[in-house]
Amino acid sequence: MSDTEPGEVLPDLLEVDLEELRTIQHPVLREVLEGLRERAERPSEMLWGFSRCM
Amino acid sequence: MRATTGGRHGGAVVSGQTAPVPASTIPSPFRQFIVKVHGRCNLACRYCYLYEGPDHTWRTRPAAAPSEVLTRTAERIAEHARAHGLPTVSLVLHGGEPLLAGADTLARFTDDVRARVPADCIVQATVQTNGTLLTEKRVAVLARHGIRIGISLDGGLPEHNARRLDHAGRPSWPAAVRGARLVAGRFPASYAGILTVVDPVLDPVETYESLLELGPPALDLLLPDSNWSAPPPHWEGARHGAWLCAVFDRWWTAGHRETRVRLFEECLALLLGLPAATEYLGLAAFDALVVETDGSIEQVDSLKSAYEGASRTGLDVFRHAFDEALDHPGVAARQAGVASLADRCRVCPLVEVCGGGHYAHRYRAGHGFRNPSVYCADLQLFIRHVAARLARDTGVASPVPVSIEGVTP
Repeated sequence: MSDTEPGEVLPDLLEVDLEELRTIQHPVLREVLEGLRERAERPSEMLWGFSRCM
Repeated sequence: MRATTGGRHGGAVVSGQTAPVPASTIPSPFRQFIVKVHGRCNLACRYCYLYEGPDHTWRTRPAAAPSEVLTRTAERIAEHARAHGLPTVSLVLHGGEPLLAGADTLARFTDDVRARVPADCIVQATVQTNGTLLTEKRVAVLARHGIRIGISLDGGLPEHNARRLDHAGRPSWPAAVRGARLVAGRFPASYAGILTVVDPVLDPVETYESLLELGPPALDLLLPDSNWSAPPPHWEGARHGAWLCAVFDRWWTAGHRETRVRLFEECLALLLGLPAATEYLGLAAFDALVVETDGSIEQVDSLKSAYEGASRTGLDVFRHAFDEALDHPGVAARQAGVASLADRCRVCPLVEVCGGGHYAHRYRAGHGFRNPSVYCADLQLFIRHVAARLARDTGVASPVPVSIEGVTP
């Protein structure tokens, strides 16, 4: 799927089931989803917005 | 698992089919406290957003935060945490170069904050440093007191850091890389990661791979603090966006997650309808506050790239509780979601992911901050790229016909 041309369409990802996504064999995404799973359950506790620090 | 109702928002405009979520009018308490423990820096980086920009307020403030400022700040943090029942707060030891205050001072202050907050409130402490003053002894102190270390570098090679010079014009790289390797090798549990400002003239993959060599558990890639009245160098042609896309592809196809790249993971989270933690994307209420070396309560430094005094609130820790800062118009604007955005942003199908970009990047002299980001084209390029990769490589989403071009206000 190309993505950089004018008139590019965007995929609708909001209805994706996160558990189903974790079964997909994409190693980077699988690791990312481990962290996102907790975020879905406890949205704000561990999210820090300030950008000028790690 | 489908996320709980509170975890994922429905009806995002990314699909092009529903309206943006209305902004809340109830202020979100501050949860992140950036404390300028020292207001000067041992470096004189030529592009520094703080010392080379239009704001010069640092010149009139104490170099080091006096003990009475630190004590009062700790009291105010505890007061705010107690008033709002905060389960966790983030304490960011910042500057200037915070290690100029001394590792022992940082440790004492952090301990004081932890002693004063309610017993069930966790204080996550981080120091953000240029790395040049990291020694075994100092890092040991920080580690012992539960302070994680973030390092600011522009890449993992000497030539990437050619503009990071000391006041005598000497490269900071030898000392900085020594500090980074010390933390990575001897104190990995204290290593928060590396912060890098994007320079589109540098090779993106080379820059990323050179940073990996320093073993960071996380990276963040920041767009230079710029705005419509002071655009960044090499702005034309969405070069910053293309640079980010190139690094994303390298990171995404690595076969395993080599490091966490905050900007990328926050973009993925937003595309999946989850809350995000970055000033660069999303519509989440911004809940960070700064205390300067003289006790002034301010908004974040990046606003200073717009104009002199842009971050000022007129409040200070001696006379005002942090709650009073919640009523400041600038603070409220950053918690208002779509209500603060330019009209063009409000109707953009990317708004729930982009969020209008970093607040400071929207500034235009005479027009305030209600504009698209100066990086609008870059953000569109990057977000579409990540969305397409996510959809393509997981095969779970079908395209929806919406798009919008990058705009100028």
